[in-house]
Amino acid sequence: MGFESINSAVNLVLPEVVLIATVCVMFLAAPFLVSETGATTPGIRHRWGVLSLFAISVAAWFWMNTLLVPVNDGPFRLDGLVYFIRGTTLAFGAIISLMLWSQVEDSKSAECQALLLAILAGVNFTVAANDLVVLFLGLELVSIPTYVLLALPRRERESQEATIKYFLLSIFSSALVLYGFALLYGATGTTHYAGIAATVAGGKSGELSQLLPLAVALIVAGLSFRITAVPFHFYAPDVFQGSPAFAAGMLSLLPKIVGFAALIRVLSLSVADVNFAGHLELLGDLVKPLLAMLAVLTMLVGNLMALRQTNIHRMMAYSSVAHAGYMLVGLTIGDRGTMATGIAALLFYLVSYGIMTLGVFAVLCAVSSADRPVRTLNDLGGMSRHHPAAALMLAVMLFSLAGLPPSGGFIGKMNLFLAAWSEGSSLGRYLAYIMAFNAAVSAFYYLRMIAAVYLKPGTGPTTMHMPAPAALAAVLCTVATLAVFIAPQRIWDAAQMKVKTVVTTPEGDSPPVLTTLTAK
Amino acid sequence: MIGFLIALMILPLATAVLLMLFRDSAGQNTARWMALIGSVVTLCVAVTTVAKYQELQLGTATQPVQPRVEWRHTWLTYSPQRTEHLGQVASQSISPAHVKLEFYFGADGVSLSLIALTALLTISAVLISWETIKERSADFYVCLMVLEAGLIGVFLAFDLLLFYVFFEFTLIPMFFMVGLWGGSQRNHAAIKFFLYTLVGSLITLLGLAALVIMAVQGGVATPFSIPALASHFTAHPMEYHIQVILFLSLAAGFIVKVPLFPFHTWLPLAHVEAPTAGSVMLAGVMLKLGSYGFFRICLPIYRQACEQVGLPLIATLSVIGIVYGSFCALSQRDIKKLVAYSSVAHLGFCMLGMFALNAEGVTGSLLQMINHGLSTGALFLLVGMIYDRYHTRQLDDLGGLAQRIPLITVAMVFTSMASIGLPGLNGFVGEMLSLAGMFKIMPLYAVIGTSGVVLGAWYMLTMVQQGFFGPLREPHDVHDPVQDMSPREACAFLPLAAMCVWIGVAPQPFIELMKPDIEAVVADYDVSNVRPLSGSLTLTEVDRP
Repeated sequence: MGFESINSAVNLVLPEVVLIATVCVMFLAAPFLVSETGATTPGIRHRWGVLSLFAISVAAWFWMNTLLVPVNDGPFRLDGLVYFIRGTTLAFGAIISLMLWSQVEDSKSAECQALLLAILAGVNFTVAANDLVVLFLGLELVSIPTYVLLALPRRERESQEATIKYFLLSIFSSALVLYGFALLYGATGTTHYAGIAATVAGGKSGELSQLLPLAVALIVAGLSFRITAVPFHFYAPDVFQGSPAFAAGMLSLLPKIVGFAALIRVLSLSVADVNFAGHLELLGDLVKPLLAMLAVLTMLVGNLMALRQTNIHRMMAYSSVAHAGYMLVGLTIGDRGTMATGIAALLFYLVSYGIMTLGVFAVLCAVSSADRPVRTLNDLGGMSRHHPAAALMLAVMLFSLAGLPPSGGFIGKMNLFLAAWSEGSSLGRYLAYIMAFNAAVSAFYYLRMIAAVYLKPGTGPTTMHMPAPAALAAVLCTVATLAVFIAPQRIWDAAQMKVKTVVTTPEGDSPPVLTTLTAK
Repeated sequence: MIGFLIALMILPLATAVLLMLFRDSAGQNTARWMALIGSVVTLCVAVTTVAKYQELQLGTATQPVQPRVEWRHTWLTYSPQRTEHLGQVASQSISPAHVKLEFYFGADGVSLSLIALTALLTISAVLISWETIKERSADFYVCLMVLEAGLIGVFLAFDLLLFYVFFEFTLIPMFFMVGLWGGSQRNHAAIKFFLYTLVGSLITLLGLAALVIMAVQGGVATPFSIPALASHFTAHPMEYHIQVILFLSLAAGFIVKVPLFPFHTWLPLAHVEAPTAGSVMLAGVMLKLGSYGFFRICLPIYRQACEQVGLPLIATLSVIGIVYGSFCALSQRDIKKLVAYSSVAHLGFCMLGMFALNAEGVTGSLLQMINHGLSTGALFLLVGMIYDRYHTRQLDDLGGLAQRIPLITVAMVFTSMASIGLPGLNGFVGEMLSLAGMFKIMPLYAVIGTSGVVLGAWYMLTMVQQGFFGPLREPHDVHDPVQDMSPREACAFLPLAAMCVWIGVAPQPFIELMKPDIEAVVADYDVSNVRPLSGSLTLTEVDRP
């Protein structure tokens, strides 16, 4: 690879370059500002928070001002999916950064913010990858900072247990993914997307083609850990319970973004990118039932288990499992669906889900304090009297999670419904039925939480003043979820644009995408 | 005109927002005055809108569902991408740019009358809560105003999804009203009410999604617009079995909301636990969302299914509801529960008329919706007044109240008469028309239904006789001198009573207001013409080819 090609590759990932550069600055500078005993200038976290937000906004500026380019041979691609996921990640990154800002003590603030930025960069690298190796590096760039981020803020047993659990299972999932990649490489002889797609499409993999279903199954299994799909979800409740609210919020969202982005990429590589000539029909037949099964299991188990929880973080963990199930419905439908394609509905849902789940955790961040953390539903009793604004925001988020109007969650679910129903097969219709059933079940536990906030007597969480950054994050999420309901068009267009690019063949035309983008 | 429609929804919302902004600084007094002013202004706008609407001198409608004034704004455009490898699937999809959700607000005579009812009842609800809601009163009025906005939104929505959005949304303020200001079992009642209706609505949502997909495949340009759907499916009916499935799934949510037997079990509980204002709004308007949904969506779109499945099914459930609800009401000792069960019976009349599927029946049904809103609303107001004085609603503890509170007694007797359907009062007109419509096609149901009128007189008069006449019987722990109806309470009650008399004496203007729209909906039903009167005494007669 010559200097020229490196240069052009870097041009494709400028936002990530900005993020990583900031990470370096923070890691280098932070140790000099903290004494050996851990003492530091009080309030230094505000500076780190501002720096982190600044880095994200610079990255966002680059994101908005880079034009999509046709798929190339380099390590990165820049298509509609990248555009969509990158924007989503940066926006949610800013919100998580605000939550983290008010929950992490001064001495660790720099490291935590830096780790968050590294995770964001990792998510973006994953989706921008044009090569299995880069994809894997992106995934690891998400995982490794996550371990540290989970371990850093707290020293309690629970928290350490959570970290270890996450660490071991994450390693395991990475190994599965890697094994799948290796088989894919073995079958096709290349790690480059275009190469794989061409080999598979041309049926050139020959007798090694039996490896493909196994490879895809392993990759789906490995990535299922990220999106907490049942039966790969069991670490989630424990890890959520042992993590501070901002980390739980991050875990409920960013691994899902990265997991679904990677799944879309890999599956479209073997399914949608390729004309189903000959033996590859088999692969399509295999993947779809597999995904449908995952979706059904994930929805059902997530919702039914959430019914029994009293710990809020555990409940939200199961809720995040259930929502992964809804999104898997979108993935199962894929690019079928005459009204709304499954992938577009999935991406849209990713945004609306992110807003509401982060909103819940942002409110929890805002009202819990070190001396009186909000752990169980009983801790929320009386909250509506003492924190009326926070209670209202929490209620909006929970109604949104339950899929009630007027909220982004409603539009998101509606899109998934339409996608599943318009797919035309009985599988799609059954998935829609099961989704409706699950929406009803889920309403029960969200309603229980709302009842705890509004109807239960109690003294409520006692924080007198909500920390401004977390409160701001909560307000942003509340406004956003209502805004997604009223004006969903832009996000939907962005989600649609992606489908076009992913579906066209690797050599296909992205200029139409380019024009639609610049026209906006 | 459009401005008025938008204002109708914005005004209660704006009041709610103002209340919320000043909830800390404003005391109970400011909050209730703000709510009162907001609701009175809304009513004024509603009345003006009706007056202006009548000035328009509209003729008969040309489409089954036709908003006479409308405002549309694109909400979300689905533009499915055609992809090369999808082949046959892509060819099915129609020109993508047209598939869109809309903010499609409009009004016709039916929706305007229901909006006026909503606005009127809201004022009564504010006035009756004046003294009784002491805790978090600002929040209470916020809920009430948001509820009003949501209810008006349902009646204004002509986009399928928008309709559903408002339909669902009204659950939220009602949940809080029951849950926060209700009686001793309020948590349980609120959650049961919410989940029960939510499950029904989700089945409705599935039906809506399927309907839209059907419309897209049928080439409807705007598959979410109710008027377009109605016109299309009137001209090109769906296959019969698909119609039946979609009708039933759509009906699920509406049946629970109405509620028809046997899906009524949430209603008595929610009513008993709700604060008076909540009961008034719940019985007065929210139950009507179900029957309005039938009228607006099911009747014009699933014609065959309504005739062949809806008619026998709903009519059967309705008559069971009428008889069963009446007997349940008869055996209640709690006055509020009695009124709640009487709602089940009265809504039975309403649905019976609706599924007569002829102009008389549907007109009667819609009048019955308004009448039930007025008379049951008034009954709940009076029950609330008694509860405020005695802190009990049990007939065992109360008796001979006429000696203590003569004015309330007069009001109670009057409202009971309206509710029973005494000629000259509103209940008579609606029940009469509903039953007449049903009698034309299925006399048996009409006959059984008529027994409901007798039963209604029985339980209502029993309640009045036991509670208000005879020897005085009061709870022992009431020490304050019991006051008769105060001017404020009179202000809450009298408008409803006046409307009861007006509709009873001169129903023609109300019928005229709704007539063109009703006729447009039932125009393509020929049930009444075909069926001989004598032959329809058996249920099997319904399955005509």
